Amino acid sequence: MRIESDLMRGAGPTAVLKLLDHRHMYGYELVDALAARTDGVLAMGQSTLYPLLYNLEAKGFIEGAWEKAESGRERKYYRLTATGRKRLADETAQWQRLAGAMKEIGVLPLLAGVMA
Amino acid sequence: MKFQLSMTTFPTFRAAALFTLHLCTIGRITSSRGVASAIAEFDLPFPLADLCRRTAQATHLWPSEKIEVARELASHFRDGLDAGNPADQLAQGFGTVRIVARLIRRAKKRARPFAWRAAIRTVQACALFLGAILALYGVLAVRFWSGSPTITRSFIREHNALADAIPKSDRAWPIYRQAVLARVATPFDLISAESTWPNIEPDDPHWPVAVEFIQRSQPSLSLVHQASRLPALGNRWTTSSDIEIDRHIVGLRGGRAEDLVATEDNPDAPLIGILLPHLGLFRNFARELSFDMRVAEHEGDRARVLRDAETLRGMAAHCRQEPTLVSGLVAFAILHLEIEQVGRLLARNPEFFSADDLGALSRAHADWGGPEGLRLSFASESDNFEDLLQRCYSDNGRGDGRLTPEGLEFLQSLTGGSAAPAWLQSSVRGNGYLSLVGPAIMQTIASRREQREKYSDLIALAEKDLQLPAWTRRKNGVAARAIEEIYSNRATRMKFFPVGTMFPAILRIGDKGDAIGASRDALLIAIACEAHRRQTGEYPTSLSALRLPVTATGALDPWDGAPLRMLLRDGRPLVYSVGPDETDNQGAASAARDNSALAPGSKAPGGGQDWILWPPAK
Repeated sequence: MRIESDLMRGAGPTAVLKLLDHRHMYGYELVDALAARTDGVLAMGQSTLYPLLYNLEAKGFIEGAWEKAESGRERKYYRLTATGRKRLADETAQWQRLAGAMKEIGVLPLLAGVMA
Repeated sequence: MKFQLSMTTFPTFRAAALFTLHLCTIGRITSSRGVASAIAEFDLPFPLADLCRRTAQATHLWPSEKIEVARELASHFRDGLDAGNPADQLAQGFGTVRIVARLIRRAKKRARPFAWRAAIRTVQACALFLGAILALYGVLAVRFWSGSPTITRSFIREHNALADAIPKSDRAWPIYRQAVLARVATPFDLISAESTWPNIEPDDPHWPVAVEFIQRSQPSLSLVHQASRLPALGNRWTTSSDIEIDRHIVGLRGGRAEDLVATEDNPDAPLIGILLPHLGLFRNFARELSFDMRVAEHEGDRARVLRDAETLRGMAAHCRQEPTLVSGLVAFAILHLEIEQVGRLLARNPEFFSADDLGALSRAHADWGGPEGLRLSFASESDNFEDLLQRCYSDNGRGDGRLTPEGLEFLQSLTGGSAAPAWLQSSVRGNGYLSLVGPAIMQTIASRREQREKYSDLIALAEKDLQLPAWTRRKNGVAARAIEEIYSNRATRMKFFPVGTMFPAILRIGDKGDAIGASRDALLIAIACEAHRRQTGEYPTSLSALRLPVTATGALDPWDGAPLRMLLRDGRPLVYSVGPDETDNQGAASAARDNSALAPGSKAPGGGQDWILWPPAK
């Protein structure tokens, strides 16, 4: 099931921040991880990911740097900044409250069931 | 060809143009090469490399940003290929180049330096502001250029209808006109700088020439005598001069009368454009009659003196009938000349007039002007203003309207001097300028209704002020202060520019009436003193001994409201006002005293001096 773009617009940045919370990652790696770890629900292509990354970078939540990979080729890796970490904490709290509310009115279990 | 010429003619311009071209071309080439080079690093198949290149170029970002984007997209595709994805699948999943480029551009621009973003915001705000101004100007321009005045009243026709209703036998102007056509040329000696015409005494070297001239003028003056005794002036207002009179006057001056061409009269023209040629002609006749009185006095011809004086009063009364302030002021000037001549004669030759003459003179002066006396009305000025409004403003049928292009040009034509606001002064005049600023002026200047209300308010104040006694008006008059308030503020001065332009100098008009009233009352006192002397053998020592005719001014001093002062000096009466210092200096006056210098309206301090009203200065 494809997620509405409005929902995706709110969830995408939080998902990317969360992935970068563990370690720094490059673009393709993020696309791959989002698709694999959300069973395709939060899958996004380059056309969505890179504008999203540039927005987060412009806001100072993440920062990117070209680094040489093991293959010897350069990749741009993104990492979470202190501001980004705080932002992630805020958004996580908000998502938890939202999820709680959705659960209360019976939306979340149904959605969780579909996702499962 | 023209461009080539300018390029070669102006080396600086050519260099600047080439440099700009260089920057643009080199910038694009550098950017394009950088993107290609960045993509080449990742060894992508053509479709993916081309996708990266087109997307990067379509972002229209700065060259360094494009290279960064191209490099990152290429890196992404390389990772995809390395992960085993086919190139066409990666290309298909990329999306639309234009949309991706737009999203990237939007995001990348947010990351640009604050100063750059602030500058862009400023430019955008300015453009928005300018756009709003232009839009507003556009709306105003449409309003301004779509307005046109509607002339509903012809004040000239209305006046002429009244003049035409006067029985022909009662009209004085046709006879005055004949008198003008019968005039003879004034000798050059009399109008030269050395001449004191018409105040020439028998011991003056110009006396013989003046006497000869006045004798030749008798046919003309005879007609003036005849006209002055008719009840109404009865002249029509025109915007063209009387060609027959013009040719006669030019002929008298030795000019080529046949060169003059008649102009067409336009009874629908602005009221402010009417010609009042008789006023100047009346002043000439008044000077001639004034001198004729001197000649008659010299010859002992009492009847001629009295006839001349009566004619002067009649001419003044005719001017007074005409409903314009300037005519009223000319009436005062002619009457003042007559008062001076009679007063001078009485002072110099007390026995000249008979007792009956003195009584008649006293009554004639006390009654001059009828019930209105020496008070001028502003009714005609209101007509002038109403005419101005209908020529400048549109009419919405409910008494309001806005300034029109024709109105703006009309207002401009009224502003000859620097008293006008800067936007109407000659340095910035021109149709192009007016076209440009017209809409803004329309918005700034008061509407038709506001102008009329302001003018009416001021006229009401002025009329009220004129009802005040002279000595009170100067201190408690409010109209002058109301006018000053308009002029003290640039915004109100511009807003009510038509009011300020058309509003008469009210205090001066009141002052003129006060001055002529005091002169008239002083003459009445002098006549009463002479009558008293003939009855008792001596002049009275105070005014209380006299029986004065009742006048509107009540023989009160216009400077302080007390009765005019009188004392005996060298056995002769001296009538005076305390003058601007409002202190009774017992008739003190400077040796070179000029009566008018201390009259109401004068700005002379007048310290230690009184305003001597009779006997008149020699």
